[in-house]
Amino acid sequence: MRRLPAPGAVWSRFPRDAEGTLDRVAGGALRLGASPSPPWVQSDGGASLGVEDALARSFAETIAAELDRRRLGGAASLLSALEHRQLDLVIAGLDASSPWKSRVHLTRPYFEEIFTVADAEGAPVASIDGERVLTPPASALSARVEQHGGVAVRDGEANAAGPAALRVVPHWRLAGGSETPPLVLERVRHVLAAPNGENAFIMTLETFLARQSGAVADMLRERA
Amino acid sequence: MKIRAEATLPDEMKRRLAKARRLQWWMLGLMTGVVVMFYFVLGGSQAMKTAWVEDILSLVPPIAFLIAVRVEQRPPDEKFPFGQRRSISIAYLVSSVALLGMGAFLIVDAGSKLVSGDHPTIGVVELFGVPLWLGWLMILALAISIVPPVILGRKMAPLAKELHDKSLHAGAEMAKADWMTGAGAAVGIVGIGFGLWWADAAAALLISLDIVRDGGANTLRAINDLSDQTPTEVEQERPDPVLEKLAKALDAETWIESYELQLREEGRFLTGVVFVSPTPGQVDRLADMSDLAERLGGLDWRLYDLALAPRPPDPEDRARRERG
Repeated sequence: MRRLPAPGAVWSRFPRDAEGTLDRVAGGALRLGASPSPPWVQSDGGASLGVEDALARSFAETIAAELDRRRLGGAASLLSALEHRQLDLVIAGLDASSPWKSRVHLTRPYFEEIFTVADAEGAPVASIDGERVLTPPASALSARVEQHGGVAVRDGEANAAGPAALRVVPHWRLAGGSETPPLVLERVRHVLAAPNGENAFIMTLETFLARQSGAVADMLRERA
Repeated sequence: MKIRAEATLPDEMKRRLAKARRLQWWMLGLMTGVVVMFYFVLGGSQAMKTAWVEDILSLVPPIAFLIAVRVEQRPPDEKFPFGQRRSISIAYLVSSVALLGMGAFLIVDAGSKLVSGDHPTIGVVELFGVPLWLGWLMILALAISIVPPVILGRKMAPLAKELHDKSLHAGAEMAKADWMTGAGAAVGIVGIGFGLWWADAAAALLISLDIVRDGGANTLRAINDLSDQTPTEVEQERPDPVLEKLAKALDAETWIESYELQLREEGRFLTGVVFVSPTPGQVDRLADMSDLAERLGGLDWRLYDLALAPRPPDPEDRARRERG
């Protein structure tokens, strides 16, 4: 893991933080807010297993910081705390279209997830015209399925016609690698959140994330 | 209604006007390019956003000018017996009010950001795989954006004077001063780089105050112009030297005892009435009036459709003259 120069090193940083976040956390404590959102943020007992959990751990290592996990509730409370500078970093399975984007800084996407439809073997299908497709409950994806001519069937719903042969899956769960599938239901661009105005901290974070998309794909494959 | 004769420009002025139109098209084209370029580097900077809005606004004067110049050349007809030479002044008013309104909005926008303590984020872009602070790109865009208006402004200023075009003059002055906007915004961004979150909104506020000042002053001039104020020079509020020319010519006419000018500006032209009292015993010279009107009109290309009107002699005037 590449380490950045220790804080207080000779090179004078430009841009600087408005509130000195990077100077404080590098070599010190990084206040992290995490809200469960598998597979991005999840814990099992004491261990944090999510993709974003791993990213936060790696990042903290690169700036010699110790992660200080704060329990503050759901994504909304975390982001509000971030806005008021009570946290330094928030991981919550956020995506780039979050309405918080003017109040906190959402990083450039570290991973783009493409939702598509796969058959029982996990191979992507090109068309769902007239087909029944199993769709995650409480999700906008059912509208997308309908848009593409399919019939959205929710898990657990009484279906007299039996189980659906097709299901909505993210592209990284497809058998045989994750190139762009033929049918794109939705693209979700995953981001982390940092406080506004902390330009040095953000630059360090963004530079770190820019190198991670390969690692993220690997982590997801382990969970597929 | 009697339809006026057409106002014509001498060939020299036609060439200048054609050149001014070309320069305005260039301005329109280049500033549109700048506006598009800025859009891609906007980021979170308020000063950058203000500079962007000002550049969008700077499209209004050229558009207004180009439309007005086409309209003003329409010959007088049944519907508009006076012609449409005022279109230039109307374009001037429209541009100034647009500037004033936007400037006021931007003051409120920047002011509210300062009050709410908004910390702007200027992040990172990847250029050819290298992470680069967006602030550098913004500063580069600002530096590029300064060049067209300053160059075009300097070329337009002398034309504005020769064509006696107040709106072209105002546009040229604002274009020349555009370097202050770019420099101010760049200073704001550098301020953010040094961690001074307020530098950006402060720079934006200063730029907006400048816009409001420009917009306000020009709106006032445009209103005065349309209200038939005594004709003034293009650059300053001094009386137009053409009035002096007329006065001299009238003084030289021995059969005129006294006269009074009542002139107003119509776009770049001067028009109006000259009231004339012949000396006693010279009343039959009234027939010479149309001849005089033509001669006076020929004194300057800007004099258009001068009307001469007889008036009874003013006894006070006569007494004053007899006293010497």
